[in-house]
Amino acid sequence: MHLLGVAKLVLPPWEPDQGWRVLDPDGHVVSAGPKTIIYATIVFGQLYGTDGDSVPLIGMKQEQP
Amino acid sequence: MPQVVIDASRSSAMLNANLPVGTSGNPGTQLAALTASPMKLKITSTASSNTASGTEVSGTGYTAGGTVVPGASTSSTAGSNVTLPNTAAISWTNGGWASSTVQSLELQDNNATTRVWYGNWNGAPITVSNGNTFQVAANAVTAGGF
Repeated sequence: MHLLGVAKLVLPPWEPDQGWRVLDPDGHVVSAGPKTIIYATIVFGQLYGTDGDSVPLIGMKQEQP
Repeated sequence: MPQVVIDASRSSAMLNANLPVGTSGNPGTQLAALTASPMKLKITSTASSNTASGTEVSGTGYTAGGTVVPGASTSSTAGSNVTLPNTAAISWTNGGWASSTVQSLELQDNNATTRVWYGNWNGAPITVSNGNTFQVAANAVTAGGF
């Protein structure tokens, strides 16, 4: 007896800390990479131009060179 | 390596909403609400910047504007970061894309009219040959910094 049909594609489990991967049509991992961090920082001097870093803010400590 | 990653227009809107730039030193105009529908994750073949999107992936297997996230991410509390997509992976299969390179991601509203976050994929450029699938793991992207 022949069992005809297409086997269901079973994808490999994700590796720890894996963020993305590229799979071929058979479900094999072609390449993979880590997770991605997008992180916003506010730097006072960048907001207010070259004088920004020289303006003292109450309660804030200015970094020493 | 973390990147600086907020669209310049959105960045200014955030700043103005929280700084005394309004009349007599009032807070400035508050943020306009984004479309109240699931946000979209978009991928580009060239690098996005704070002023412009990279070239969006195009062709069979990719819908212009990106793919909606599968569910709600955990809200930020006490300054914690937010991760996405929650709680499932997102996949795109190259069925004849104009470019086989994936470089940046963008997070925008459902109408794809307001771009908020952007950044290069860690490990980009990523080659996704015709017939292959680019898959992003659940909670693979972390956004934060304020």
